[in-house]
Amino acid sequence: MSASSEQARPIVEAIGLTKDFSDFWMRSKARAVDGIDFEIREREIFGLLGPNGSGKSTTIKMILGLLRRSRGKLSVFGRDPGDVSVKSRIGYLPEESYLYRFLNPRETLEYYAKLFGQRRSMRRERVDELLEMVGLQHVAHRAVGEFSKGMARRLGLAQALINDPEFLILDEPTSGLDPVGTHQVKELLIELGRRGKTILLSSHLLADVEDVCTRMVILYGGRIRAQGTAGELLSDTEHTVIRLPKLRAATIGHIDELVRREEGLAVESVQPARQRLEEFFMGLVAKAQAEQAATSGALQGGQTARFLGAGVDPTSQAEGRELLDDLKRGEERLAPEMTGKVAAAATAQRDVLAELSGATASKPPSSATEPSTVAPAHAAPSAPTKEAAPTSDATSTGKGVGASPGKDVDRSIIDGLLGDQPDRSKGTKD
Amino acid sequence: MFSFRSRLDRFTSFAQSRRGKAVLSILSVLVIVGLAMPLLLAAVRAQGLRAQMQSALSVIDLDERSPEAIALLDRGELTIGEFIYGGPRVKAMVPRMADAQGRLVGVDDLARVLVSPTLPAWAPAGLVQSLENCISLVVALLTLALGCIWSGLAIHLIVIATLSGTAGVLAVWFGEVPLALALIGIGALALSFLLVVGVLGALLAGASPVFAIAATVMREAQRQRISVAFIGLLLVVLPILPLSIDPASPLRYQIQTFISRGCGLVFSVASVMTLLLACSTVAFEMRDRQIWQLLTKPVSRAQYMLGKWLGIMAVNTSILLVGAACIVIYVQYLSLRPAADPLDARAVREEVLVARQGQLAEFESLQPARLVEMVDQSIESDPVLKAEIESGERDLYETRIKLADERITAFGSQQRAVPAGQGRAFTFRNVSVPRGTEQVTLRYEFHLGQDDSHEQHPVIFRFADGSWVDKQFVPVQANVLPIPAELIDANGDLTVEIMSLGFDGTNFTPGEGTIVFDPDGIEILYAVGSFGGNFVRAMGVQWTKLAFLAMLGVASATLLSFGVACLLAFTIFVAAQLAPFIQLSVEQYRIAEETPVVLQWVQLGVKGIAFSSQWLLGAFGATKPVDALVDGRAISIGALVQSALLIGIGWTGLALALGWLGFRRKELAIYSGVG
Repeated sequence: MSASSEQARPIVEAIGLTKDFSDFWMRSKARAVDGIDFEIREREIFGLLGPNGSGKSTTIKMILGLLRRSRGKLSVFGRDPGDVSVKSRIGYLPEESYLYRFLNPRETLEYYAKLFGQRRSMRRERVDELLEMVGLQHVAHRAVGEFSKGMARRLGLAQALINDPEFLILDEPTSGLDPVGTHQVKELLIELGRRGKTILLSSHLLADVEDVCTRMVILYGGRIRAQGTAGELLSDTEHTVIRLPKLRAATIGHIDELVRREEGLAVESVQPARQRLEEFFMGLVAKAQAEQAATSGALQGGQTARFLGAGVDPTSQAEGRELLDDLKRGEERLAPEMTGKVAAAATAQRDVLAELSGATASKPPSSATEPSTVAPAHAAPSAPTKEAAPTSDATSTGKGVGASPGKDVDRSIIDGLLGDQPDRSKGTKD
Repeated sequence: MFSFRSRLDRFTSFAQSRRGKAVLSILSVLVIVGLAMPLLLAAVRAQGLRAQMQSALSVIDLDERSPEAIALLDRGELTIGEFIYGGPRVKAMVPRMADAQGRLVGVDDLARVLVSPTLPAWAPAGLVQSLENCISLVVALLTLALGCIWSGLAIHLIVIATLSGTAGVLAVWFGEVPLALALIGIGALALSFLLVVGVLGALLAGASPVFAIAATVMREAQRQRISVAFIGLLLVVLPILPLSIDPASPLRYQIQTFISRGCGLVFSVASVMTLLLACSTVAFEMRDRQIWQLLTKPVSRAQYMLGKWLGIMAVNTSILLVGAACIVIYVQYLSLRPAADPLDARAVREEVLVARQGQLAEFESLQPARLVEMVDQSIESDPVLKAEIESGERDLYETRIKLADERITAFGSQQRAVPAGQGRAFTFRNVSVPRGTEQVTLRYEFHLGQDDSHEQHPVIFRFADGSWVDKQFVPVQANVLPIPAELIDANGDLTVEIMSLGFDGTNFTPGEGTIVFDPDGIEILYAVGSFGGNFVRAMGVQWTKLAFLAMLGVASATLLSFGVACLLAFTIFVAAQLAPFIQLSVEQYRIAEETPVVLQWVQLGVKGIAFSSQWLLGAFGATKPVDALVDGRAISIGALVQSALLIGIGWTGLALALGWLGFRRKELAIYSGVG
């Protein structure tokens, strides 16, 4: 067996998977899953998308053995989903956190840890780490019945990780969480993925899935409508996006002329770049935390628990920590996958830049040192905000620090176009 | 409020530290011993005085007419040192306490009666009369307090002890000593329960799915309203129960009533709580979906059911232990109270607080050949009946069966009848008394004429050695007669002749009618064990019943919703409890021929269901350990083992198996799409 195929062995295999629900008289009432084929490979973060009622939760419950399949084949770690031995390798967070209201967080995690046969010292250590990780250490002795939805969700996530599972199944993991919590969960998932976990993520929040998943499946009416990586599904080969610092209207006009001349095409839209609301929000929270403002809610979680994925490449661990540290400092950095994607896209786009800038351009580089990067071409938004002509108010913000342009790119044309210094304060993370 | 909370948190941390526990332990010892010191001193004084009295009474010979004997007989007084003790009450008791030689028997009981007026009013008589009991109480309280402190229940100890202690002191202040005991008893019972639960919880702290689920069920029982209500009810009502018993009634009656009501209360509360907790803990987990997170862990469905059962039984064990301790302690306390009638005290010791074996008399049985002859003779002698049989109007087989039943019944009744002026001997076989037994008891319950309970009738009992004793009996009422064990022969047989005769001191006179009795109307009873051992076996039988109920509830709830599971479980429970009554009803149930056919089929169906339920569940209701305890009858080890095997393992295992068969295929996730 080759190294690559060994690394990518399937954790879950479904062939012709079908689930029919019947009424009391055994008459088929509804077909929730209709002959789907998919595979979840080791170490990938697999997204399961679809609107409500598309069969996502039903599929997950069949994987967990909570429902029996009506037809087809389904195996988890090569075994039947109902096999009890398989479950010691799985962590599950259901769509709602179904916790015992009369237990406190420590008792809850201790309980679930005992179900895995963990000895006392290991239990204590893991419970402490997980409570700190999810920011519930200060309410460890408060009954779960008194928790907010977000706090219960955090505890639910902690119990899903108590056994350091190889395969983590998360059904709507960010449901009920505030933006800070949502962001942390996404960061955690990326970190866990880097530590070698296989993750199945089910959500109808597309942005969450897009940010973290390596491969995804889209369900509708119990059937798979699309399947593949984010790049395969979302790439728009018909458009190119160039992200630049703020330009004057005249400059934009020059660019338009250049494109018309060189490509015979017109610039379709010029619009001011916007920070994502999540990024803005996180920046604000980070600032407030730096000022040590008081809060009675859940504390911001700590680092990813050490025991999770212990033994994986320390380099990746260091990268993860660095990522979290960067976040705390409010610096801009792309997610590694995004960096990877950006790097790959950047390479592909360098030729275009070279063409755009022209080999004979000789203008000195701008004193602006803010590097510009090229974002991968994305599908045009369904309702793009197009402008007939660039206005004086049009601004563009510089992309966050990340991939720097390749050395062989002649930036003279771009530098020539760029008149003003980039506005550092508006530098954002993509 | 915040300041109080933070202080409370600091004190809690201190109480859970090693140093804090040591400090609290020392304080507890000082407080308990300090509070108990007056009681201990009073007990020491009473014991000393009683010893002097016993010594003085044991040398008195009532026939010698010594000054001490005269004082005792004429005034009921005894002089010790410079003090005179006793009075009219003692005077009434003394004549009944002399043997044939004029010596006093039951000197200890008499001494207790003489000492009782000297005891402090605030001191419970049953405690202060026994120094051993006082010391035992102090040791028990110290064990309870130290156990609570070192198991992390210090705050509970302080709060509960303060509340119940204060209430008790106030009750004593107002002169309500029994109420004070009850209030302090509530506190002690609550703390004992918490301590026992803590110990059992520690035993279930192992890292295994079954233990983990069991420990969580125990927490659920302590924190959920449905079970806390029942536990609270038991812990409050049980100590108050003695207040409902008339203290002026005979001591034997008080003890029997308390045993009956106390054990009945403990079992009833535990049964109902078991069924509700078993059904709710499973059904609500399914409804609220906690089971999704549970069974996606490496826990099999059988382990889940076993874990639930084990947790419920741990709670039941706590309830039984604490309830049993309360009952035994109070019964011992009652038994030490001075009885108004020394015979009453003796009856308590020999007929209630003991484990007795019973042996019924052997009767002659009707031989089959003789029975057939009698039936044929009956048919031949009745021309009308014979004609109806020959004409086919009556079925020969059914007629013969009916006649045979009547002949057997008549023969049996004849065996158990003693005509006026006559006697009949009855033999009790295999009366295997333990070595050292001095006497056995003949229990007899006779019928005569109209069974008027206001009348007394004469009867004479004659034994193998020629000795006899004449008695008066009240119809239908149970009476007892002590018989020397030496009358039992080497084969273990005891023969008693019952004679419907009276004796007026000079002549024998015929009785006033034929004495008849039921098959169990005469019985020989003899002690084979102690009350303590018998009580433990009784609780063991109760535990096996609760084990079945727990698994019944768990198994029902794995397949049904909470409401339906409760309905099914309670129906089976009630049918099982009433099985003996149902059996009797089924035997006597007759379908009238004039009833419409449809209704006859319905009645037949009802009879079939009733018969099936009593046949399947008869053993549950037939085993009545509390009745045996109240009557001072032994619950044998064999009976306990049989109950454990049949109910504890057999029925419980069957419920587990049936529940698991359905549960293992059950889909736990609910379809939530659009159909």
